[in-house]
Amino acid sequence: MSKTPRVLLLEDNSTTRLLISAAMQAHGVEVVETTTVKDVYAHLDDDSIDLYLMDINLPDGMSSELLPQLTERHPLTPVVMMTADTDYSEVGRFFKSGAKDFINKPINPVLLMAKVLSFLQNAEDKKALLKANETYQRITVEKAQEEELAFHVYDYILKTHATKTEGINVANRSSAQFCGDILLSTKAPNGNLIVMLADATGHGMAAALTIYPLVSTFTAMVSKGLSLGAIILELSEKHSQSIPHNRFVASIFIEISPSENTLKFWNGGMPKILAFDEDHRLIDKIPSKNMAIGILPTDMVNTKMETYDLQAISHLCFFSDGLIENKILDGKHLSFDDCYALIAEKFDAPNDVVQKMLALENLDASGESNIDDMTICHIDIGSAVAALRNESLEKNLIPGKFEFAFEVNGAALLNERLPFSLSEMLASYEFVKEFCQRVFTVVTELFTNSVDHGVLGIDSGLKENNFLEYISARMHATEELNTDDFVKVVLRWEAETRLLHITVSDSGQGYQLRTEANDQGLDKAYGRGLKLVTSFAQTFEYDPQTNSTHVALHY
Amino acid sequence: MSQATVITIPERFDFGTHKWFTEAYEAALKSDAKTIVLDFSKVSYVDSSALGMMVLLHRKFSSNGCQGVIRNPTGTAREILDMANFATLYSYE
Repeated sequence: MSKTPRVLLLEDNSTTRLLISAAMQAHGVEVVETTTVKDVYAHLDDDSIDLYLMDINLPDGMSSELLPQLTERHPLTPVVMMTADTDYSEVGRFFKSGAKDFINKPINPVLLMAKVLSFLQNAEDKKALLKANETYQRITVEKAQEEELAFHVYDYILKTHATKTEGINVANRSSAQFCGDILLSTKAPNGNLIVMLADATGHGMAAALTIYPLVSTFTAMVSKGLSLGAIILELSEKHSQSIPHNRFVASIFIEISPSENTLKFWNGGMPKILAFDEDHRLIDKIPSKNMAIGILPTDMVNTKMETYDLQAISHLCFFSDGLIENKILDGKHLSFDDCYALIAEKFDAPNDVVQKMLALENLDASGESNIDDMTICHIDIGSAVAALRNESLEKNLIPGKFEFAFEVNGAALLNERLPFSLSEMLASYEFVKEFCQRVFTVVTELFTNSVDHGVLGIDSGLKENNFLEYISARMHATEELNTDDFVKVVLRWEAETRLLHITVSDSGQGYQLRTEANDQGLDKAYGRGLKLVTSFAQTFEYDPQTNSTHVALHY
Repeated sequence: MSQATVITIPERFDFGTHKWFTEAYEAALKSDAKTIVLDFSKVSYVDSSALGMMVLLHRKFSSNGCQGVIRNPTGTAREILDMANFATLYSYE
């Protein structure tokens, strides 16, 4: 036994008490000796008693009157009665009142100790079992609470990130409360639609947890305007940072781009994507050429896409492998090829194909449970493109006016982040990303032109003819920079004309004369950099009097 | 198919990137790769220095009998590459 057991002994006869106490102590049992019923009342609240051993007839009454209270307060503590009385009808009543056993007097110490020790062991086992059961109940309640919390978060994430998109029919079935499959479609700022079908290793809460970081990262990255390749790399990075190495996410990414007139596919570890023409004929199956996200380190992830003309494909159908695990046909498991063939066969009415595939017989005969999470999706490219075009790319109106002017002197001219900071500042006014990218290129070219050719006096042709020599000439020239050398940049926005004016001037000799001397057309004379500027700008002017270049970009 | 080396270009591909880019392509040229892939997936901002570096890289790998591929150029980056007629130096994928 784990601790020294304590027995309350009620016996008014001192010889018997001595005999019993000696036997108990010899077996390592501690004895609390009492001689009257009243004494026992004083111990009613004592939780340290492991067994009550009581004579029946005491000078102040019958100990049997104690039984109801003892058994109520200490239901797991056994009570053993002792008497010389052999009226068995009395004994029967004691059992009904809660006594566990009965010992005849005179006491045989060997028999008594065998019973006492057996009861003590039994009582300890019961208490241990009860404690284990309480622990189990508590763990069950805690687990239910944790799952409820996880499901709340899961449900919130799904509702926040899953938006209904025109032209996409999807059905999703899970094997448990949580689903490790997810289909998301998000519109990018450039008017493209990016669709992701992801299937995490396993199922249930573990699979759902594996999907969480991808879901929130995906929508954030699409909304930020990242290209599909950059999104895949970002998702891979996020996955490797937050998910254990033995968990992967097979996924399909599809980008529908009305502006580039392309459909792009990236399939990593998923079944083939089926492509159909306008007559609902299966024309191509786009296989997985990549590994599931999480298997390779991000720098080894291949972002090469399969690219198609938008007009070449009218419908797409794709699914997660749960379909072959959950469904049977004529009592047999489906292979991937069976699924492709079945979908092609049922594609006469494309909008019904998802429901038709769901209607196939479940491996589980009740049809209620699924072995694995399962998703099947059909995209009507025409409807999706029409919806994208309807939500025209309305540029945010940037109200009011602003003007920033700054001058940079000496070695501060070598801070190459200045043009990028300016384009970031414009982004804070919510100019669309493409415009900020153009401003970056224009400001970079004008600023670099002023620093390189104006301030540092490097030949404007050197950069194109010999880039290495240009870099070395630049490094050499920067050593001579002093605080009189400057480049001044002014950015001025006019909401009425939607023009962003950029003026750049510098402390150098100007470049007009050189361009006139080499008058071989704008492209050649201005070089590659200024060609980019003139391509993006509405107007381009150079004032030799002030040695300043002024361009305006229309928004 | 010949072995390819991929150089993933960062978000800003400009003069500030030249040291990193030079090291990256020199390592690529030393390898046995017959194809050098410039992954433009992440690129949002490009200037003419980037074009200069790409012309230089083209000269180096053509003399080695290699070919260059630009992967996933999008948005303004794609416009700039098109304006500079880079399809004559690199193939797109």
